[in-house]
Amino acid sequence: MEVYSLEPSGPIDMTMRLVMILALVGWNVLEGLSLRTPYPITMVALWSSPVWRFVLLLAIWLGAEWCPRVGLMTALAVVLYVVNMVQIVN
Amino acid sequence: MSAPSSPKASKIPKMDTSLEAWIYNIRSVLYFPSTIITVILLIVAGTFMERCPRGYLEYFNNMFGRSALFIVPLLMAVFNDWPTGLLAAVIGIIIFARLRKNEPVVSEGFTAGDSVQTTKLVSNPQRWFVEKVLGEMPVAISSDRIQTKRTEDNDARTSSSSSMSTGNSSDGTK
Repeated sequence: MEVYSLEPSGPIDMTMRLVMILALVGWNVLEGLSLRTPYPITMVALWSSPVWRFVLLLAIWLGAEWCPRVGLMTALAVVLYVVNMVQIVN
Repeated sequence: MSAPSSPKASKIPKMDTSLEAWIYNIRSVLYFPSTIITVILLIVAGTFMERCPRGYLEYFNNMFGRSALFIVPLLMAVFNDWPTGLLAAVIGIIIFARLRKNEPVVSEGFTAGDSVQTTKLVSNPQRWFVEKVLGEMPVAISSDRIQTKRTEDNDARTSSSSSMSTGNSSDGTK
């Protein structure tokens, strides 16, 4: 198994990782894990588009290649969104 | 200065022929193509998993299928890399979500053996005008019979109000 370096390559990389992680944590807490806040209508409408689902899965892989924490947070956000959409659509 | 032909300098280390060494060697050679191909296949599969017929997903709806949804991402993480395993795990969860949803299994395509829906091959070479205009060349008809039912209104209040409105209009007074 490939061993990833968790250390960022510089201050810009560190800042971008931190911003992405905090944004994804906020999204997961406020939107993904909260049953009272529905997803935006645009995201619900976009679920039927294959391009949108392709972009979501590609974001998981790219995020995980960039930083394991970003990949995990992205995967969690996508899983919560997908499970919600599968339950409410059709 | 040592001689280049001395037995100590030209000594080749003994080759490791263990299974672990073979797996590591194959993985190091095929690492990049296998990862790229696996990621592309996973993303395409995950993209169209929502459109996958329920009948095909039923193959995973048993003990072995559900176990495979856990084991396959683990193997991908071990033999490819960590992001590929994460992607496979997400797609496995998508399959789980669809399996947990109680969808009726609907047979798709032409269904033979049904008294109502029978496949009939088009034997007449002459096409209809609409088919000529639209450029269609049908080879079979899935169903040429339509079952219709009369409309029923179970709501008594709606039925009475509709009859009253008809009576008033025929009378000419409100």
